[in-house]
Amino acid sequence: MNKRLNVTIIGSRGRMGQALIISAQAHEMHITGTIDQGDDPEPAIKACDVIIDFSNHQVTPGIADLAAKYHKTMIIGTTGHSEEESRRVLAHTSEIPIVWAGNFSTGVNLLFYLTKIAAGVTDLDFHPEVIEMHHQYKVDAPSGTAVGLVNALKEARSSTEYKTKHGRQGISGARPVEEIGVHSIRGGSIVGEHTVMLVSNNERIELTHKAQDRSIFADGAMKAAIWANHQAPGLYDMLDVLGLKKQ
Amino acid sequence: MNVTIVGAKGRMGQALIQSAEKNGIKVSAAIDQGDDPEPAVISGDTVIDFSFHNVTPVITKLAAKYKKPLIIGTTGHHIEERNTILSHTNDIPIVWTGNFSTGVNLLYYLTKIAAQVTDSDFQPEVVEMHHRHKVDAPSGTAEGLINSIKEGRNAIKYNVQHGRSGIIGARPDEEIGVHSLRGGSVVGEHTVVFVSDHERIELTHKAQDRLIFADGAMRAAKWAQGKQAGLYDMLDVLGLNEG
Repeated sequence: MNKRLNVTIIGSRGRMGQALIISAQAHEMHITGTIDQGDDPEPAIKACDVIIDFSNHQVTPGIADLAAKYHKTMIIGTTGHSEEESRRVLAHTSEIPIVWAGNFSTGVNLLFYLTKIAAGVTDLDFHPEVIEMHHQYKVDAPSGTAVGLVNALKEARSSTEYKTKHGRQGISGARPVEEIGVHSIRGGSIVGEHTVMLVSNNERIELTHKAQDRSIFADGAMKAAIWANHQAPGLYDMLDVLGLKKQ
Repeated sequence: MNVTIVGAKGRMGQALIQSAEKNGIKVSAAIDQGDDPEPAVISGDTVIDFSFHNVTPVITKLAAKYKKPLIIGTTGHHIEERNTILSHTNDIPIVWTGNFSTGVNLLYYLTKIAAQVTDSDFQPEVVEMHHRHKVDAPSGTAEGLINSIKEGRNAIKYNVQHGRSGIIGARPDEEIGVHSLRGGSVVGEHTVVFVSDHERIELTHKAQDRLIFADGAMRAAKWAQGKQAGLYDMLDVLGLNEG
């Protein structure tokens, strides 16, 4: 029996919300709800199999509470959560499967994976820097993807206590070895570009991802929805969905 | 650890001496044309050969005789010279590669993974840039990157297209475009692009100077200490060859 997946989209009026609707239709899913500011999410959540949340950081915890209440799988693409908001959401990972990622594209997740390898193979005199560029309407900095890239760098070089430096200004002193510089460029309609640089005195490696349009994130979210629906409760990311986690 | 350097008077030989000093490694002997290699080989813990294709077999025999690990960066060996060298991989560990830089070998590895993980809607292209005196195109490293792509997608029979010109038709899926830029004093830059309709990945390496090859050779020399007899390359030294 081929049952269509029922999805409810939170944040449907936003740019990502619109892309999610198109992708869900292309994947022949049944859209049980399109929720945004002012709408009551509860009936739409009750009716679905999977919730796809690309809304606002303040909204996610409430949606997660409802997801757990009705035992629904949740896909979270919203970024910029506070520690308290994150904690509230994570409390539900013992009850339902949650795929939580700053970036749902195959390309970016490949970049996370390659970054970990590169940072692990090179030694500390390859200094890490992250550059990200997004459109003029993005409200948070750095991007969720950039945060993910910084985490990938830290995980690969776990014996070093890295400090993140968000932009540099004034006489900041020579660059400490335990620093990761993060630079957030904003302008125009750039969908999303990220570069990780590992630069030594004599050579450098640059790993870049450029997104042409939002369909890559929406398609990845659908891929995650299909995958997560069969998983045990827990916290997952796109590397799990893409099978890029070494056992 | 101390090292014997063969080919000390060349550009790479000089870079090796610099690198040894920087890395706190003692150079027990630095020889070139006209010097007696035997006492030099005896004096070092490891022998590093960046000399000339017809010199390497002699050095290899001596290294095997005195049980010294051997690092070979010399290129352009004839088939008989290759066979002589390979025959001694039963006696000593030999690290043999055309490019000793950590960065480039990392790029080979990352390229292979990227080729494996992405499907054929991600089309591969290679761009390389070198100084105006370079006589061959594309670079040896670019050839290595093309191989990495092919290895990552071994079910596809790729055709390499060196630059494009005229009305050549739409780009076939089984094509890898390679582009060789020449100018100024660029030491060496390589980019692999995987581009789909909606996103792309670009993996780049930029070399500042030849010291990266010398540093890689020193890293290989340290690594080879205590290893079993056999033939190794930089991916082994960097821990990138799965067992």
